[in-house]
Amino acid sequence: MDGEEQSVVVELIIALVKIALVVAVIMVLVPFLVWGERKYVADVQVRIGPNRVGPFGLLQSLADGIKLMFKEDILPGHVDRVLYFLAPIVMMIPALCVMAVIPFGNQITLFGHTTRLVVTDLPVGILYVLALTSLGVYGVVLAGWASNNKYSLLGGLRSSAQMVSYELPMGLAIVAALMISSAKGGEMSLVSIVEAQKDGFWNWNFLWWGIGFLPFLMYWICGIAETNRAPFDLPEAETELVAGYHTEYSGMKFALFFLAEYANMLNVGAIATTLFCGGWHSPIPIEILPKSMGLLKALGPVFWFSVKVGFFIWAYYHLRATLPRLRYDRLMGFAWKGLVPLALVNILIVATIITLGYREKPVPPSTSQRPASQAVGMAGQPGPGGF
Amino acid sequence: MGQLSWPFIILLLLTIISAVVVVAERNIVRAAVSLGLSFLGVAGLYLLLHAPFLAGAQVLIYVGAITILILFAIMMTAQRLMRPPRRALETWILSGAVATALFGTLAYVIINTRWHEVDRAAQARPDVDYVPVLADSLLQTYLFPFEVASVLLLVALVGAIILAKEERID
Amino acid sequence: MDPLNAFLIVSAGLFSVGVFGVLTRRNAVAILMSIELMLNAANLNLIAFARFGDPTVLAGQVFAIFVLTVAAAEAAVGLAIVLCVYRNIRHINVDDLHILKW
Repeated sequence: MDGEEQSVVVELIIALVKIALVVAVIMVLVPFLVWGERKYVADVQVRIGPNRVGPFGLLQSLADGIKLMFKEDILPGHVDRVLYFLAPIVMMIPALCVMAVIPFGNQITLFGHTTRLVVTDLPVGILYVLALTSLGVYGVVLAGWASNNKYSLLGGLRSSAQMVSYELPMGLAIVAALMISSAKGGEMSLVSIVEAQKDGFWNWNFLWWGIGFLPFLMYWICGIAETNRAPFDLPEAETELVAGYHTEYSGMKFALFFLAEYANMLNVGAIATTLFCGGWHSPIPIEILPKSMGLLKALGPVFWFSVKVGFFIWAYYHLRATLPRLRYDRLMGFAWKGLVPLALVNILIVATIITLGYREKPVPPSTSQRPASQAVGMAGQPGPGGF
Repeated sequence: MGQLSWPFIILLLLTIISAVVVVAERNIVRAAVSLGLSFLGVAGLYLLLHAPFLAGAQVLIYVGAITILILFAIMMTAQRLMRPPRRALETWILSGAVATALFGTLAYVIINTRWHEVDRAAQARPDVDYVPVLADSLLQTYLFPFEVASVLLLVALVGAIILAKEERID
Repeated sequence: MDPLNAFLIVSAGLFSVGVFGVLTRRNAVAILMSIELMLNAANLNLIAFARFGDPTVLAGQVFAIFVLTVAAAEAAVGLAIVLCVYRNIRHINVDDLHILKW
């Protein structure tokens, strides 16, 4: 009994460390992502970009962050106080929670404990991701409403319509990805989806039968729309709406919106990596690569994962630097008349290929066998009376 | 009540209190947000009932889609300057009496019913194959209702578009 | 308390709150919200019975999925009707929606 309790405590500590690590990495990364974006866009536009604070202006975002933190917390007189206060928080929480199910590396063994580099592996992982992403729209809508300002309200209205519309093709693209993954022996949990794409880049989902590219592209487009980034940044179109839903926000509350936006970009990149680009697997099988000890062996997967997510972040920058903003009716038309029918047809094609007999080897037993308490994804108290 | 665990009590309070706010709050946007919170509480209860798929679907559809749709409708029909008049006290008392009587009756019936005893040991089964079992029953046993539901969704989609479409008189 | 009873009573409470909302609110959207609460109560019942009934049958959960579907359709059509009404008479107070009476 003692040993069992001890192992529970150890599990708890490991989980807390993983959570802290993920949150810390996001928080530390965001200033540099902002810096990278400003530098990249400046480069494309033949400007210099931030170059005063620190080497290459690297500390610029940090300085901005400190400024935002010490600014006076202004509460405009005409706002709905409760919702105004709530909106940035509601925006931030789902952005951080999504990261919990994303596997960013293989198992590692530290101090005699083997653990996967994922905070928690839910059996309905992908549904969890979809559910939480759908909560992100609350922050925008509430901010738009609570600000009691016509620009904010318009931004909020636009975003609620936009995000709900793009959620649909996004979900359908993910369905196609799940079907592809299940044909390879994967399940709904993100770890098993990654496991199903091992042994080289030709097994990655976006290369599946030449059709996997379609859901991949659709997911990526919808991801950009869901994060309200250019060219789909209608909710905050500054030439039309001042700053859209966060017109009335300043100081730390504004910083939270900013943080959430970049955290969401990381999420979309990470999920695209996991679903379509083999997750933490290296493009060529790991057996060919030289093996080394414990931590180094784990760093390989983490490295590949970071490279792939970094690619998506770069794509975000590049799209923002090169594409103009869409007109609003075009944006909605694109989702409903373009992406949704395409996604449905795509599902049909994938289903046809699978039905015509495409099957691969079953999933390794390590991922499909899970104890019940872990499978439900809550503090496990099995037994009918113990809930 | 000693058996009830704290997650259950927290979720119960979250669900019921935010539901009360939904019906009592006069600011309708706050009521809608509270509705979302209540749905989240119900999703948590689904997790306690070992139904993680339903919990996810609940958050995705109720919290992420229906409540957002409601918020959208509120914003389209915004009447924020004219606050609704307070309801007459009699309406509150009468409705409260009806609701309390309903709750009392239901609770009485629930407590005094002997539910069919089931095999408790079988309930503690591992949930390993939970999602596949659900998928099988949805797409094999209940295939026909499933197809009907999809037709219903299509009809609702078309109907909503036709209803909400503005008729232009040029 | 028996766990099944606990869930059923929560569900009964949620349903009663929904009934109270339908009776007292006069904003059409608020009435729709109360109806959604009642649908949730029904779903909670279904899933509780699926959990504490025969464990090999997930019929309760499947049925709850159908309720979700119907609720989504109902919300879409209901809100479309509300929008339609608002467009015609500029308010959505159901007490004053009596033009069909004569």
